[in-house]
Amino acid sequence: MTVEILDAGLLATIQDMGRVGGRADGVSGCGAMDLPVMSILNVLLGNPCEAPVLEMALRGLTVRFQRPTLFAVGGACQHVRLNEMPVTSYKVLLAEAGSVLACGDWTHGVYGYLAIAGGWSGDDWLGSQSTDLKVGRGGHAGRVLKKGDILPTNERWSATTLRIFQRIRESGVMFQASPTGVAEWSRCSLAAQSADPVAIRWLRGEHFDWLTLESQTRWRTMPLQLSARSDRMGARLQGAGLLLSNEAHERSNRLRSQPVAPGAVQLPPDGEPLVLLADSQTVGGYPVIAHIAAVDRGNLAQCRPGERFLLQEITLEEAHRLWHKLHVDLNVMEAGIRCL
Amino acid sequence: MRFSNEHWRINPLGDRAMLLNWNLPEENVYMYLQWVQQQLKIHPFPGFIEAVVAFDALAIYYDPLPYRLQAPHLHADNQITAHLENLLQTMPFHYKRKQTEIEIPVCYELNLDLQALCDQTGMSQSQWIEMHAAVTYEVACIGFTPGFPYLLGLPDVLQTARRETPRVHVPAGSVAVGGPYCGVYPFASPGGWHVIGRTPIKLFDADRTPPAFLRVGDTVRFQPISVQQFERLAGEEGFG
Repeated sequence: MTVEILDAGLLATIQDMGRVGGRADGVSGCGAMDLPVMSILNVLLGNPCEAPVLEMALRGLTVRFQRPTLFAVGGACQHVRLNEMPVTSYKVLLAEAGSVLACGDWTHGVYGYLAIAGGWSGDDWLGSQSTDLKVGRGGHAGRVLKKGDILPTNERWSATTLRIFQRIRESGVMFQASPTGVAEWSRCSLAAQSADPVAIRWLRGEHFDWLTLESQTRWRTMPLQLSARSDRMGARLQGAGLLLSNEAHERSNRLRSQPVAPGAVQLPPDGEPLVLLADSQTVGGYPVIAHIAAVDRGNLAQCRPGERFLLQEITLEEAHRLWHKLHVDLNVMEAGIRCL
Repeated sequence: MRFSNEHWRINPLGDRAMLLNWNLPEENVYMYLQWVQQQLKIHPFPGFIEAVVAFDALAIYYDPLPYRLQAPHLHADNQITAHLENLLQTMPFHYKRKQTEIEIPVCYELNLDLQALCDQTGMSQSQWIEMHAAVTYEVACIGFTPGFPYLLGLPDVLQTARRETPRVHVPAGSVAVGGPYCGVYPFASPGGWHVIGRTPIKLFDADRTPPAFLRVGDTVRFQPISVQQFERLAGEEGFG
């Protein structure tokens, strides 16, 4: 089954949970910027969590479905329309052959997702279908989607997906995630759109105490924002103006490149922290002051430039507890869907 | 000599990785870390994904769920540390990994900065090249871009600070020096190092297994070639 791209939006790529095993060769993990959203949408559709999704940055794309299928949108997606009918996020919808889905323009969030029954069918490279834009492999021909692209989907649907399809077709049963359930993991969902700045959870980095005490306080308490110079490789924090203590300055000049991980917050000499994200390099020579917890990397990436957020320090144990809770919630959702 | 806890420290690198730093002032410390990396593949802990050696550090990437599902009351970082300590206790003292020596053809004529470096050191180009090509380099880290090697062994007299202004575009295959390292840019990219030549070898080929031409632990010698030889080899490699 294929889907035609009628309008490719700004930057749309196929992503799954990321590429593993290539870091020793300097190959980035890539993968979806907002993993919890990706997982929720896949579970709703009866797909495995890791089924490839279509990720859209800043502006949605428009597609036409060749054959009847199921899909769900989420993340930053807003004002989405299926053949001019408004589409609710985190709800499984049936698209008939020839129907057109316009993922619209959105005002909140950055990354919108379109998940489809069976998952998208991207090129596999080193065991993953995520797009590696630097290398030009994986996803759809290793590149950003263009108008006119014909995207294949995986037609081997799970038994759950088949049943969801039948039940929607025959009895119009609704498959939708609870808004509060989604809001716990995704700041883009309707329930999360409040005036309060979101709290992004972080862990202390190896070089956090290289910061001056004043900078440490600023980091902890100051509302922060991303600069427009943020992308899939990393998010630049603007206006933080963090400084290293004098002795630390000397040591930072002698710092060798070390392996890093997505979520790591580096402090380049200009004092504006850089958060490494999905497409980031595998090694880095800047001090690492903090790490964004895995559950909040997506939430950080979803902050629009200029939108303020606060930081909340947590322990490693708490970070693992949260990741475990997400896993449990997804299992509960999946069990609920199977029983409907 | 027995390796003990004072020789390494292990700390979390965020919530899905650990970083093991080796404290011993060994020259080839990455060889020991490679042994640990190999052992982790043979004896992985629940949730182990992959490990990367870079200079005197070993990063271990993991999924915290398997340990949590197995024993939620135990902290995953403690369990990983215990697993590593067990492995390290069995590490042989006189480990000498079989080293793969690799020859990399380099056309020094296709340089951008060689004369400037010679002006700095007062050497002639042929003296500079002779010194550079006489060394057996060691790959101590791969990163910056896929396949980019940081090579140890650059003679002191050839070492120099990075360029004040990085170049916006360094051609793919450029061999460069920066600080104490020699490196090769697999892709055309911005670059802050001094370009002293160009190799027709594809340092990174996405269709090759493994895609990176060099790995940590390899030893490298540069083989000077002419422009004609470069063009011929580049054509064979399908290089631009």
